[in-house]
Amino acid sequence: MRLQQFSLDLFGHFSSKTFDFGKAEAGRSDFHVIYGPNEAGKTTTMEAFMRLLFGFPHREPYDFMHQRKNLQVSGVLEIDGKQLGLSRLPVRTGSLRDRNETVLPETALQSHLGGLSEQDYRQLLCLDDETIERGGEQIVSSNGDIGRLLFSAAAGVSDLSGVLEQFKSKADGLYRKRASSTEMAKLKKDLAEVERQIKELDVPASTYRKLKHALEVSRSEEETVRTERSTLHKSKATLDTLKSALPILAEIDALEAELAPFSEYPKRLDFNPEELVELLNKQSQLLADEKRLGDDIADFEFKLKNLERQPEHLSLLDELERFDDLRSRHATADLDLEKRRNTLREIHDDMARAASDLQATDGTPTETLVLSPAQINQLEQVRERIRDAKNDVAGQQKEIDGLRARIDDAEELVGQVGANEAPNAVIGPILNRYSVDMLAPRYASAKEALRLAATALADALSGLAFKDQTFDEAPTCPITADDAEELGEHHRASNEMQQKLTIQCDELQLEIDTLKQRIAHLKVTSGIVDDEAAQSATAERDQLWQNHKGSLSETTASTFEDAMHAVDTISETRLGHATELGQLRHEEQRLLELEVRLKFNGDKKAELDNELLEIQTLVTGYAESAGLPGEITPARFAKWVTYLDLVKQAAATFDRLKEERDSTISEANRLIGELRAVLALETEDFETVVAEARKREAEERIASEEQQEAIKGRDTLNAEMKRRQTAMKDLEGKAEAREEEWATLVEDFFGDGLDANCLVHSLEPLRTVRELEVRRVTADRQVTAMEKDQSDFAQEISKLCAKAGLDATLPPLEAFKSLKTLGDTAHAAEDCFTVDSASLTTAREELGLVEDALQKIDQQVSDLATLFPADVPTNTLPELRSAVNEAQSAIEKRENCSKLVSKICTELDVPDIEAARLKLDGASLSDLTASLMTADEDLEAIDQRLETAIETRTAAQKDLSAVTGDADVAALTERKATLEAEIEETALKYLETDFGLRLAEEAIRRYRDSHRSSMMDATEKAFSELTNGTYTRLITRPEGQSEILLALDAAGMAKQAHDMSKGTRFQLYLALRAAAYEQLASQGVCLPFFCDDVFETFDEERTQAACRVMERIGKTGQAIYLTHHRHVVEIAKDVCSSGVVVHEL
Amino acid sequence: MNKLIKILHTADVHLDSPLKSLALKDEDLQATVKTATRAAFIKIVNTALFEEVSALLISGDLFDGAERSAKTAAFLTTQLDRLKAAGIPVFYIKGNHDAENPITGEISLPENVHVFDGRGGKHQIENSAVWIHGVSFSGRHAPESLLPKFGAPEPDAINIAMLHTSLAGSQGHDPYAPCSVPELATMGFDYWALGHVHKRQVHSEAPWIVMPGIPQGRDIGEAGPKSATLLTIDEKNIVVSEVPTSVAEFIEVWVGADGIESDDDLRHQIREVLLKTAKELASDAGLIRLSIGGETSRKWQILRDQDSWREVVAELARSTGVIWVERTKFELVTATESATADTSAVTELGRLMDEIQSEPAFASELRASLEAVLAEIPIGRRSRLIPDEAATEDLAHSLSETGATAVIAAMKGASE
Repeated sequence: MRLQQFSLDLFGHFSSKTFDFGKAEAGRSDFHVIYGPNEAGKTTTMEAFMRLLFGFPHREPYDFMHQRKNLQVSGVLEIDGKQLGLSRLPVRTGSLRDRNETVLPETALQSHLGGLSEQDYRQLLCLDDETIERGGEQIVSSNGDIGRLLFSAAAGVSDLSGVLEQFKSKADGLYRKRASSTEMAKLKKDLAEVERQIKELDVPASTYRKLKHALEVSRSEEETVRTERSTLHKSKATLDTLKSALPILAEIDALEAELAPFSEYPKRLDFNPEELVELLNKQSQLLADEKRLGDDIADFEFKLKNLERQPEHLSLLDELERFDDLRSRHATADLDLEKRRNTLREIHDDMARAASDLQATDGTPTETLVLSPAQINQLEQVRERIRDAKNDVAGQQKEIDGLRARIDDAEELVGQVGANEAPNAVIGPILNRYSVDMLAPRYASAKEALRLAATALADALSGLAFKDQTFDEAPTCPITADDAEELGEHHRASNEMQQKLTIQCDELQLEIDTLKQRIAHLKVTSGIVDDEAAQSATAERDQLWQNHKGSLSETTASTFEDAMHAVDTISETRLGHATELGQLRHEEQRLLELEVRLKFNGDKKAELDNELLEIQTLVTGYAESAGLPGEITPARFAKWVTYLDLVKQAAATFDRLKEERDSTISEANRLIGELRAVLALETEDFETVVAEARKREAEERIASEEQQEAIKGRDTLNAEMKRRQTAMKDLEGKAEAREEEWATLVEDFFGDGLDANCLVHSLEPLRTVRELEVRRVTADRQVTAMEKDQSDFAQEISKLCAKAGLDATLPPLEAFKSLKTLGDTAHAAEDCFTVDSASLTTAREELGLVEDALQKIDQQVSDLATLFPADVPTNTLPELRSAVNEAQSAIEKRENCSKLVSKICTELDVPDIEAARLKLDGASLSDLTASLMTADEDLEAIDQRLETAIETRTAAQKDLSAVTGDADVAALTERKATLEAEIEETALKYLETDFGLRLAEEAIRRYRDSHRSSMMDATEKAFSELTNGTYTRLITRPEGQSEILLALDAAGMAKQAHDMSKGTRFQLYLALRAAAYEQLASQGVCLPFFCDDVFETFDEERTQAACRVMERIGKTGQAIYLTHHRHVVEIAKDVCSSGVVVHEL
Repeated sequence: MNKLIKILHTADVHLDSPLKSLALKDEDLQATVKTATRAAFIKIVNTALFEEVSALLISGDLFDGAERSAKTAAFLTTQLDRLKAAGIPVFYIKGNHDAENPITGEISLPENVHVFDGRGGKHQIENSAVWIHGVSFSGRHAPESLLPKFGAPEPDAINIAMLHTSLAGSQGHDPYAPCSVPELATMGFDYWALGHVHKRQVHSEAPWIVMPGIPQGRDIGEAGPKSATLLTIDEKNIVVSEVPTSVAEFIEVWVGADGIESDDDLRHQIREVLLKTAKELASDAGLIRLSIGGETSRKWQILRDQDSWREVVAELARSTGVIWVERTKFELVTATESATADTSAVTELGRLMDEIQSEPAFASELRASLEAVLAEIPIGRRSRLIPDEAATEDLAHSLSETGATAVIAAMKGASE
């Protein structure tokens, strides 16, 4: 497959960019250079070609200018010498189309790609500098392993070693025997750790049983030790008690000796000695109070004797209080009264003004003008009704005026319509009589049918025309169409047969002539003696023999001998030319055969000629009788008779239709006649007449309708007028009644005081009078009340003055003040008297109490003195205090002694002091101390034992209680299971990777073995060419399981790949790829090979060589080199002898 | 007996038997699903308390044969004590795993637990007309039927029989207390509370013959959500319902890659499938085995990047918060794979690899390597992975096949 034309219709920044790679020419390299500066679109072009072959990807990077949905590439591919025009669209299905936009299946293209996927194509057939770069590295990393090199070149896998290395390192990372850093080793370590933790934390069933037993044993041991320890503690306590009791006994004895002199003193005191101190203080305080009270009594008695009182004026204040309200009202009236009187006067003036507004009759009192709100309202309503009645009358009058104008208009219209008197309706009845709606379509269809039939007849008749003869009607013919056709067919068949025979005769004649010539030629040129000549020679010989036999003379013998020689010569000749003779005989036989066939055909042809003549004569006879002039062929005549049948059919149809539609047409004609008379029309055309009639009918109808409408309108308006006039009269009556009602009401309310006609204009003054009256009544009431308050107050005060002996003529407010002063003075004197009398009584009572208390204290002192022996002084309070202190000291000592006794009894667990003395009898402090030391030692030992027992028991308990339901072991077990799964997973992953790697390596070795010979040769050739003969040969050297590639230079020195320069390695890789291309081509997969500026690292010479390699690829298939270097273009042009095509972007 | 009586039936708890899943490598999952068999048992106890059941029936294999920690027993005692506090009796028959586990004999169960012995017996649930009959395994094996040890059902009562049995069993497995469903049906009990088979199955409804299944699946062989069985008894009628118990469930998930054209498409497809799985999940967590399969032109790219796709799948699953992946498999084909004869060198290499694989010498070499490496795997797992010679051969073959495919995929992508 090669690319012939390629177009980037819409792709990348291109629109309609086309490349023409031309047709492949034998002997010429199919090598193309596409040149364009950077960013001109070289890679875009290559990508576009990928799209043409494999479709657009889902995410298209080349849709930056044209939207993805609009992208399109197309091209013409040359496949096995045929052209295939294709275009590719970015749609999901049916993206591949041919030139006619027909969708092609993908297989149409894929079947020519040798099963290469897009990725394969890119790997194998699209080289760029990066691929070359990696290819060069691959050569180094493969250490020149020939298997890897060949395979990586053929597969386009430039990083084969990388892939294999990746698998190797993955496998190594997963597992290596005895290695400690692999995944597997790590997992195993983790597993061991988890197992250790489980062992540490877990308690298996057997251990659990042991733990329970240990706890029981330790518990019983602890119990035993505790019992022993308790016994020891008890005996030690006894010793301690005895030791502490000895000093207490000594103390008791000392106290008893001290108490002996105070045996007569009271055993206990029923009072607190501190009470005596308080008693002493109280006695001195009472004596001071007694003196102060005596002085106070004397003072009060003196004050009361000198006090002056006035009881008669005590009630004055109450009386004044009663008149206080009156007093304040009197003061207010003094200020307001004059103002109120002025207001009242103003109101009276306003009312008088309102009365004059109402045009009241002079002398009419204003009070009579005052109406209640209800009365005013009544007046208002009546007045409203008068106004409504008047409005109704005016409205009605307006309606009547309007109506009158409309009646005039209607009358005028009626007059006009009457003038245009409508023509009598004549058209309508005619149309109805012929029921024109039914007739018109029937007439139209009849006319159309007849017209069609007549046309058909005319067409058929015109078909009969022959030469100059035409026909107006069907002529009679003595023969039917079928017979004529049979005759025609017979004539045609005979004619055909006759022609065939003529041709055959000609051919036979030609062949006979040829044969004759050939026979003559055979006879002449080969010297063949034919059978006839041979027979005559033999007969002559036989004759001469008979002659000689008869004569036996020399002459006869000689002639016989000659004849015999002649026969021999003929026989020899014939024998020598046996083949030609055979051929001659064959040709002669064939000639005979042909001559017979020629004769037979000639006879047959003559017969046919006769037959044809007969038919022609017969046909000419028939034609003449049918009126056809001159000669006519039987075929043409048969056709003419067929036409004649058609004419007859058409004529019959026409006649039948005419008969059928006759009644319709005559009916229509009658209608036309009548309408023409009425309408005065010249035309007779049915449609025109009927249309005009319908128009007139419509006009007649409209005129009549208008007249009726006008009369109806006028009558309606007249009736309306009558109705309105009646209503008007009613309304006027009502208005008069309202006005009478108003006059009556005004007279009822005001008599003749007010004029009804004047009042009707406004009721506002009446409402003003009403409001003023209300204000007047209020003001009048206030003035009267104030005058009364003033006179009441003056009267009351003058009464009080007379009673208290004051001057009654004083102004009322001054008199009120004087009376108040008198009352206040009398009250003050009475209050002073009451206070002093009460204080005197209280002082006398307190003095009595103080004297009683002093007496009680003296009694207490003498009572306490009786408790003590008679020789102790106790008469005064201080003496008594000293005796009491001594008694208290003795009581304390006695208590102390009794406590010590009770303590010693309790400690020694004895009933009394005597028993205690008995128990301690003979005991010494030193003995007891020694015993105690022994006891302490014993206790220490047993405490240690107890401690150990507790520890053992606690530990056992702890161990057992450590067996909790916690999930640590379960969680670890789960972790262990997971780790085991991971180990399995890792092992399998390792094996998978390792197996894949081993298979790949072995497969690559085998690939090498099967492809070495062909690929090595091709690579060697290309490499030698690329290096311009620096390296002439490639050889291999086994190394372990692999084989290493060595290049031999011209001097025969071997060099390993990794010792070559970078550029040389690139060339070696390119050579390998060229070889791979050849190999692919040899497998029948020959596809365009793209190189994208891969010669960048090559010097000029090597670039030349590289161009030649591309040219060579172009001879096998198609090579397309994309570059932005102008010099590469020039070099390519220079070095490629079989041509390179340059395309510019 | 007017009040409804509820009874909870479970079996095959296999306490503290660990989940076997690579998904548990994930620490987040470890935090979510910790000691799942315990969690499932706690759920059962919670349900019993919540439903105020009249009894909990455990039809054998409460313990796992392999897990023998006294802590397991302590945990169990704590849980049974909770039931005791609520006055709920527990009826327990020993199964084959219980019989082999020494813990069974060592612990003192609380007094609300009634353990039937190997001679069989019956027990009435207090204040009800419900009788529980049961027979325990006396040893690890019970090759004979245990049915003759059951007494007659009590008249005028609901009779529930507890039995640990493999029923008719399956070929290649030892029979455990063999018997048949028709035999059970004719014994006159109203409900057969069975145990032993880990997949739930209701064998019959009249009478009820119920295998409740394991309450918590432990590997992909025990896939799906798991449950206990709740009986509701009204007079003579028994209604049976399922109570979910599993905290984690194993699921096989398929992602169809048919017609996938880009990585985004595939990611989207995976996300959709995972979200759907998460949504339909009955347990707290789903441990999935995911297969990406179908016909796509991107087969080789996907296979080449299979390690990173595994990461993608794991990450997408993790983002659901409830799904974790234990394995991702690829079962892809390309549209043109079988259609045309590929002439490329990589294809030829593939053919050569196929050829080499089938050669006996190479195969035996691979098998030797396989055996050497698999010796590193703990014995339990190893014997499950390769139980016999045939399995070893199959495994070597499938590993070399996937290995070869991975190499081809890497080669196809090496120049991209």
